Amino acid sequence: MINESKAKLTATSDIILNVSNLVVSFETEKGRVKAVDGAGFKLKKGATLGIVGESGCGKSVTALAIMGLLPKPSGRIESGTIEFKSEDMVPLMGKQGEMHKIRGRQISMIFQEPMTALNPVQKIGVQMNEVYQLHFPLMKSHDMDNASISMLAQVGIASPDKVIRQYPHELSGGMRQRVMIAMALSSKPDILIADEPTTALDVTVQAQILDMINDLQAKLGMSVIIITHDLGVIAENCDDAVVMYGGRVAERAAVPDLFSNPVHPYTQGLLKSIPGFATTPKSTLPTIKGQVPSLDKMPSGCRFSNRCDHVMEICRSAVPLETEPAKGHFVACHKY
Amino acid sequence: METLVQDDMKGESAIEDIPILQVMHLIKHFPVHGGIFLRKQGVVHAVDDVSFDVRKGQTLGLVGESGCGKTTLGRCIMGLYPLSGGSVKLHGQNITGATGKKLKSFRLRMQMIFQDPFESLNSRHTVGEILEEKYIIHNRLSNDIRGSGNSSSRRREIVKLLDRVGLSEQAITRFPHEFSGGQRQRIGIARAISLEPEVLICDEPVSALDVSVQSQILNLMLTLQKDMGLTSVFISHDLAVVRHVSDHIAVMYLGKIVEMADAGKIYDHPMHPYTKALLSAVPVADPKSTRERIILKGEVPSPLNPPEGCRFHTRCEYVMDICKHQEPRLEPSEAVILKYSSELLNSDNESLNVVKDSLDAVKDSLDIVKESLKYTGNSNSNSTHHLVACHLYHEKEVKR
Repeated sequence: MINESKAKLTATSDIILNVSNLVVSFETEKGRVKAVDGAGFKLKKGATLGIVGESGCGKSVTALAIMGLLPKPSGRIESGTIEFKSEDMVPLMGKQGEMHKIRGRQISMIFQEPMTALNPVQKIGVQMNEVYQLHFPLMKSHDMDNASISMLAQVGIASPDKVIRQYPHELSGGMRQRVMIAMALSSKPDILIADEPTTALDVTVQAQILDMINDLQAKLGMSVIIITHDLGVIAENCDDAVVMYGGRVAERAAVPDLFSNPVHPYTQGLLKSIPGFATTPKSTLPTIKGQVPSLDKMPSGCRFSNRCDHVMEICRSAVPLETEPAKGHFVACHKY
Repeated sequence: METLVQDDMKGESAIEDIPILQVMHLIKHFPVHGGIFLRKQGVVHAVDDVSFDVRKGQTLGLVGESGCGKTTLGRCIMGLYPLSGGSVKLHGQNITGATGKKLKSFRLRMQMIFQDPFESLNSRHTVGEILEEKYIIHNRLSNDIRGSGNSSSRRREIVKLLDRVGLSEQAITRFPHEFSGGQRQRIGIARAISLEPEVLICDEPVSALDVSVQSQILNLMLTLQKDMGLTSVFISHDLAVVRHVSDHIAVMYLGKIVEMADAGKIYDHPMHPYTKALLSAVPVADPKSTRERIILKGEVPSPLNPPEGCRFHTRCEYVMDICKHQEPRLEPSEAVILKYSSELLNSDNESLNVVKDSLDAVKDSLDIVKESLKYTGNSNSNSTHHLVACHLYHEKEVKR
């Protein structure tokens, strides 16, 4: 099913979001650091893209940059383009009015912590209606309520008419995340960005939520970006994947290619180090030595060079450029 | 030499087969107070009648989702919470309700690693102080011959300890915030093993860590366990991690163990419908995997008011009438064979297909049981059985 949809999605017109050479920097006590340094990827229409990486790799910052939600004034987009439907959004970021038309209307986002993302002192219904008030100001409040109820029903909430009169604390974690998704989808966006949507949830609830996102995606025909640290989530839910490390894209490819033939040493290490059901119990797991350096202490050249087993001279001095060793499979490593 | 002490301790317990840690019918209820006079309004059934043994050098994995009581169980074993019922035995000695000196002498032999390496270390103490504390507290008490009496000998111990968990000597003077998550967890591990305990309770030790660091810590823990002959209880919600480190696994749901067996058996032939759903929900990093995913309906019921009968019946796809009013016992899976051969083949029970599915599993486990009986001659140890608490597998109940 996934493969079929991918086959016909190759023409450039089918690319709904094109991020290229994105550089995002933050002002810190130690000066400006680049949290994202030249990231680029494409999202196909109707497809699911997974962005995977460890904490601090810049995956969430990339999402915030796309949404125009970088913390101000410390964070800013230094360079690069974010083309949404072939139109660059970066120049719009400064103008609040312009971004409002897109954010929440055409591109929506759901966050990791459903408790902190919802307003604790407002009822669910009030918070959901905000979307309509903002984007469809002519709607009657009665219609808004009905629309909210039907949206909640769509995300699998059993008694939505009751839930809109409840406060977030009265709902379980899984329910809250469903409410968040219902809110994000109520304006029928073209793109849904899900930043670690299930990290705070249990595996059985995670399965419910991801299943539901897949269903709704097929129903509404939207594109989805899933940001996660869990390679399992990527393997099971995404068409394409981007592996990020230290603010850069290490490797990107279609999911089956990436898992069957990972080429970047970081991706290889990451895949090997997860204890799977197939690894011999109690055996020593392969590891990636050391740990992710903090952003101000990133090595020059390839940012993975200080942890890489295949490190060469050139890795320490020159930034590896993205190459395409196989069709549609991109990697930034001097080995290729 | 200090290491001699450890060797002696190993020598003492030459009988390998006695369980080091026994948990018997452990119950923990938390009262909920509310209203103007803070009257007792209900009881959270956090852990309800849980029993298991852990043998020397082995690891019992406790898995379950949040709210299933696994963390509470771990803390009850450590004596951090008073029990509402049941008992915990260490080397056959009942440690339930121990206080004062007695409790501390048990703590010397049983230590805990906590989940959050950011919160479990005192941020105002240096790593040296954090690790030294243990020696001071327990030395004063036990007056033993560890030779950790003065500060220079304690420092020698700490350096050795840091080396053992892969940290350098410079760490002694540094504060926890100067370390990354993985390094902090190494400090937590160092603290737990500093007194060379026999039993280690690990509560989600790698959940807060990144994938690449997680494997480093798991490797360290496995090495230490092998070197020190540690017996451990490993609590986690990550089934793949638990599988990797455990000999036996107990699956918990709403305060009860629903299934318990050898690690391999649980994963290859899960029997309880909840275990099956739990295993199928874990995302596997292999796009070619063709597993069928079971999506559970609804949510975990509140432990304030757990469902009657089988606690899983509200979400179980194979639910029968009996499940709603009679609680299934955690019984060996041999019962399944009895049931299978006698009754069910001829009946038109809906659950027939389910049982058929697990026939192979049962046959396998029966073989293993038989084999292990030959070796140990002991049919009472839970480690050789595949225990499951589900009416689908229990003959008597189904017949009615």
